[in-house]
Amino acid sequence: MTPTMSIRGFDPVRTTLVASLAIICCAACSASRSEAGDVDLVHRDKDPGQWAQQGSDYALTRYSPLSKLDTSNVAGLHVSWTFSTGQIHGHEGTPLVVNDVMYIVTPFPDQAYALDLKKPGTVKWSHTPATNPWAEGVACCDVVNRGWAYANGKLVYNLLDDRTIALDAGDGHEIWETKLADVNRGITMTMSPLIVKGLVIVGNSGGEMGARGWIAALDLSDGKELWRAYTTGPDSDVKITSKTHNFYRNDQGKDLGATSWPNDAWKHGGATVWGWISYDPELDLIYHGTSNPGPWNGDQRPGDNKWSSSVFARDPRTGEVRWAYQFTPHDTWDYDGVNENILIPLTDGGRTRKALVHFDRNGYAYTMDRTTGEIITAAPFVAQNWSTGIDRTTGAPIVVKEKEAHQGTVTNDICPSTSGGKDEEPSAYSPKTGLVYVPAINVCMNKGEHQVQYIAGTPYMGSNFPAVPAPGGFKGALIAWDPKTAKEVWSVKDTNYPVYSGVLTTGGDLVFYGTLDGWFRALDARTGRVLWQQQLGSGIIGGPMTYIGPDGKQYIAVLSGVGGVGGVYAKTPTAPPTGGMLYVFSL
Amino acid sequence: MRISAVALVVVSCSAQGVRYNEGGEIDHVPPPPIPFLSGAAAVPEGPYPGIAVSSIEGTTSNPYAGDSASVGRGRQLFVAMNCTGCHGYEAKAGLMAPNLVDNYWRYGGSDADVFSSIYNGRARGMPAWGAVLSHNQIWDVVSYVRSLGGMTGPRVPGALNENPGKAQTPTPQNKRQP
Repeated sequence: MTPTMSIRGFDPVRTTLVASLAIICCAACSASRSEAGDVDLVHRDKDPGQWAQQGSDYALTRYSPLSKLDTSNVAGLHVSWTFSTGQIHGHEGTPLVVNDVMYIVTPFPDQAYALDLKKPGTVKWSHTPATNPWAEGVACCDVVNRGWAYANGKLVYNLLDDRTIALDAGDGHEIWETKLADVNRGITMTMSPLIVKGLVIVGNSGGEMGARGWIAALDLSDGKELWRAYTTGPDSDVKITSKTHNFYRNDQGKDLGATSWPNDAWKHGGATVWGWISYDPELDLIYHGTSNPGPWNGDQRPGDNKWSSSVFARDPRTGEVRWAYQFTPHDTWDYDGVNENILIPLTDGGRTRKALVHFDRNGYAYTMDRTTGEIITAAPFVAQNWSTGIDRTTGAPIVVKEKEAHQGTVTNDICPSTSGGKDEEPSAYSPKTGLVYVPAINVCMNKGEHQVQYIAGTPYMGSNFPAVPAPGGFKGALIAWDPKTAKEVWSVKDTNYPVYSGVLTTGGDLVFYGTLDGWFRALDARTGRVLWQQQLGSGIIGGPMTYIGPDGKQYIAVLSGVGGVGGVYAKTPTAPPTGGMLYVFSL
Repeated sequence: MRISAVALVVVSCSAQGVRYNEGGEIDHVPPPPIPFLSGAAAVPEGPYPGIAVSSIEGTTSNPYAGDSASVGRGRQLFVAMNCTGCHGYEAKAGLMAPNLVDNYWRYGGSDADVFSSIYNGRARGMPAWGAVLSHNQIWDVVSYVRSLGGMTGPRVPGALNENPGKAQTPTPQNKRQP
């Protein structure tokens, strides 16, 4: 069975056929473990009433075809029920709904709750792991949990202390746990696992701690580690093979993950894998990015520092690289390359191209061919001044030397700041409008660097980077971006705060997002007009989602509870404080 | 088991680095020299018995009290040991560790308390520096932290657990914020 493009609601003609095949295949495939997880999710992704993946589907569109709520009635939205998470740290992550049960995971200590939607707000089960508190002191950016995954009756997520665990989705008991790293080496895990082909794909955090990045696959049935690929070092470690074809000249060559560093500096080179992972079932490729290089002081590591600040396309079964591209060679600005790669179709004349769209920390919006890694368009989406463009032969950005940061100096007014034009907060795509909706940050910085020594378990940075205002008179915006023309269509600007929440788009032509000072909003997807908003108890840095309840009504849910890097911006006299609360809305 | 201090690992002074010049060719440039700084390539989690346990009395005061040279050495160590990365360059809290300038001390704000926190480490991520730094070096860091203005006087055995003249309640910015 060839799966269709994995965008929810995009190909309605095939839906019935594929759903039928999926049901048949589920039974036939139960003996074939490696396929089971995949079929379960592809099947559930076709049911718009459920939300079985963080990003709605494997393409990470964060789009729901549901249209009971639309531009004509969303003004009547109100709180239906709430649930306290009992935690005061940052609530990244998006609730899942599977079979009338909602699943959420709190920040450290990473408690899981299964909520019974038939009796809204009640707990079906909960699980409190004994997460190592020492992890709290080595997590750079708050003790967040960015997402959890469901497949085949299991809820799978990462603990901050470097364990991936699988719980029985029915009663919460632990089925397996796998330890992948040590917190005393400065490594934590915050990312949202991706479950595909019976594999759980996970990666590490620690780019600020001198960690060495990796991505690994565990067997969904028992947690056994099946492969691990590093993101720095020789080709054999990175799993670059003779079948790897990097599109751009500067990414071509042997063992660049080692030779683009002095000596063995790549062993503490960062390039961690803490962001989102998308998957194309037709190409059978996963897409993920890598963090900034370590240390932040670039003068200690001359060279391109591959494969930091890069995007990889890999075969999920083996981890082998099909292609890679480095967004920001020799990064000295903390422009991680981990942001989501949303998989979209791009029609050009008569033909449809398989594309991805990626809003990078470095301030560029990239539309790329996801088969080859060729850049189709690349244009700034916020104020940026560190580069004058991307050289399409070498693939490298043309760097403005005056905006590089150097040891022993301070470079002023670099745009964007270390937060980037967009941080990890995920954007969303609407197949109806063809636009991508981007939670953007418009902030600049002064950056000073000094020599730093590597001490395992401590930060490996050497950089001070206070924020300064950016041009334009606003700090954040929800931008509607056309990925074909590489232009902003409209934006809702925020004078006072960067936008740090995830985004949801719906078939009712609505766009939902939240602000750091707690406003949860619905916009018209075509015009950007604010159709509804409500002040929640705390700022919003998680992703909104939507589902059909047991009563047949459409609901919108989001976790409120500010923190993360956004929490630093939210520490103003008038913004609400921290405090986790799940909000569920309906008409 | 005491971990002995190890010379810096970062970039070897004898070998050469690699960079690309504007023509795309590779230049070999030596990496910048790193001066020897006392320290170690790794410092353990704290607190665990047997790793680093300070045996000083709770009422012990800093032998370097009033010594401004000690404050200077302490600040140098605060930067060199990467304390700034967690606690911030002004020690007013970073993303990973609390504010050392205010009056709120989770584990106590006296000389002996702060010495112990640094020496033994703490359960939520403070490394056990006693495994790699000497007593005198840690007192230097205590001198620096005291110079920031938030530390308290010594605990008095048998008295109510209050330090006169200094508030102990956390203010909103002291809560574990990102």
